[in-house]
Amino acid sequence: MLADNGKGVDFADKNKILEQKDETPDGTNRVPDNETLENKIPERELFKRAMIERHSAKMHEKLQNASVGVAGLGGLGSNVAMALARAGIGSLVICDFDHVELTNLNRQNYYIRHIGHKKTSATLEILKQINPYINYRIHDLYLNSSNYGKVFKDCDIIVEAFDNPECKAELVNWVLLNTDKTVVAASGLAGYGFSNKITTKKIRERFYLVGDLVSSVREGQTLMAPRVGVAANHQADCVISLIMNQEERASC
Amino acid sequence: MIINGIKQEVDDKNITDLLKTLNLSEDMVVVEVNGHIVEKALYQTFQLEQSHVVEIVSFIGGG
Repeated sequence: MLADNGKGVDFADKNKILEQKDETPDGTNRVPDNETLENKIPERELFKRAMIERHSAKMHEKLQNASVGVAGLGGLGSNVAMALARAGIGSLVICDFDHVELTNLNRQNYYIRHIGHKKTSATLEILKQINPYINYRIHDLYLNSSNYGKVFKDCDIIVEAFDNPECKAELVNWVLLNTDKTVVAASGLAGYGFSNKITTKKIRERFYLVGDLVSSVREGQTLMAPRVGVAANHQADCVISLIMNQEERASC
Repeated sequence: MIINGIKQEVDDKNITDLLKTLNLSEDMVVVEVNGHIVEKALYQTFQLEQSHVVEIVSFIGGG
C-alpha cells in the first residue's frame, strides 16, 4: 500500500522539462551548466512526494532524519554514497583526498568527464542530480584519527570505505573506542565470482563488517565493478536497516 | 584461550606477541578481549590470560 496522500504525484509538467535534450551541434551530449540544471530540478515538495510514494511516509521520515558519513569515495564509497542519496538520507558527509583517474572507471561511480577532478566534487555533482535536497557536506582531506572527530561529529553511522587496510583498522578502532556511533566496514572484495560469499556480519555492538573477509588484491585478482558493487550495496543496505531500527535485518 | 570462537593453546603473554604468532599486523586489526576493544597503544602491555575470550578482525585491502 502506498502511503501517499491519495492525490498521486503529477509529473506531467516536470516530464516536459526533463525531456529537453542536452546536445551540442555535433550531436554529442554535454554536461548541463548549473543554470540549465536548476531549471530542470523538480521542486522540493514534488521530490518529497515521489520519495514517499516509493518508500512510505514513515520510512522517508526516518531516512530524512538520519546523518551518515562515508569515509573514502573509491569503489566502495562512491557507490555507497549513490545508494544512500537515492534512499534520501537527510545528511550525507562524504570525504576523500584523491582525484578521479582513468583507472578508477572500472569500478568507481564516476564518468570520463570527472577525470582529474576531486572525488568529493565529482561525487557531489552526481549526487545532486540524484537528490538535490539532501544536506551534503564534503571534506576534501586525508582522513585520520586527528580529524575523524570533527568530520563525523554529526553522523550517527559511519561507512568505512577505504582501500588501505591500515586506514580501515584505524577508523574502526577510533569509532569503537571514542564514540557511540556505529561503523559499517568492508574487507575482502577483490576478484570476480563467489559473490554469494560476500556477507554482512555483526562483529559486535556498533560494528558491522561486509565482505568475504579473505579476497585480497594480488596478481590475477584485481578490484572489479560487480564484486565491489555487491559489497558497497551490502554496506548501504546495512545502513538503511540500522536507520529503520531493524537490526536483525542488518546482518542477515 | 578462545580466539575467534576456537579454543587454542597459545602461551603468548600480550597482544603484540599473539598477533605475531598469528602472523597478523597490529596496524590492520581490531582486537577485542572479553568484550572490550583494546587500543593499539596497549597491545604490548595488555596481559593475556588463558581464560580470555579474544576476537580479532584483520582487514584486507581493497575498496
